[in-house]
Amino acid sequence: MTNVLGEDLGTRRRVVHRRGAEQPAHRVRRGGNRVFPSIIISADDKQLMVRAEMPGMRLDDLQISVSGDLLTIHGSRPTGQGLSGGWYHRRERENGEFSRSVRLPANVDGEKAEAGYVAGVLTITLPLMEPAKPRHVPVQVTGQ
Amino acid sequence: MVEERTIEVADKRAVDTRTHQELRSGNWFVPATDIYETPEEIILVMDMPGVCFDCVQANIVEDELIVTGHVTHGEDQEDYILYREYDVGHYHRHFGLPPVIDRAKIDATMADGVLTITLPKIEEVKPRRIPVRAVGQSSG
Repeated sequence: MTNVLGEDLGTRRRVVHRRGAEQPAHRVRRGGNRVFPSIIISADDKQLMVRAEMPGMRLDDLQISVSGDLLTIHGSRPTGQGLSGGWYHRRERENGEFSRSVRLPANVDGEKAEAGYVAGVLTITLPLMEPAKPRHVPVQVTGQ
Repeated sequence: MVEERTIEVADKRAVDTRTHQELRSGNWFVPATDIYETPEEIILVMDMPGVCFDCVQANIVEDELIVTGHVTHGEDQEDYILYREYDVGHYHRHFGLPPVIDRAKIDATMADGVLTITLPKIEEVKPRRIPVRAVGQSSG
């Protein structure tokens, strides 16, 4: 069954109720993390990418480091700056300090890691290490 | 003032289908919003990560302000996702406008995924100081 837009309604229903469900295309490990920021880790054949939605950051307040396979994002996010003489009706935007360490699922070259910040989305790109070359090791068998 | 507190993750809130049924494709979220009022204006600050400044729309329809942001920087469809803690999607939220807002002077700016809309109040309701004149026989 399709709708006026030609989209399959079965697919749409799955999209609408997708929250918390696994993506059907490929199995994705889904984390229930409570430490800011939430992340998405993706990869292609050359690099690992770690993304985090963190709008309204000042780059001076952001520190990113890689140590082995441990990625650490540390910083603070101020909100409400420049507002005075009034009162809040709602305050939904998170503010405060944060520090999160993530163990990466592959060996990366931390020296060549890069980070970009566009439209409030942080993208950290980590080149994958060349896999160690297999070494031919003959093993002698001794017997009686 | 420096606030010493640690941020906790707030789950992105899906648009409530009881009040707004989205028929466009994709995920739709309600942007986290701060609403701040001063005697002169009301300020809305909305988190819309992944939305660039020319992908956001703010429209006044009758007495509602309708904000829609289309996500463009969130994830690359080509990438193979290994681990996911949040979904990427568009943003939508309605605000009922009180009659004290001067609609001709509403201003909106976007920076680093944060949309700020300033709604000035009409002159008649802004606080003002009434000058006191001296009258009578002896002035001063």
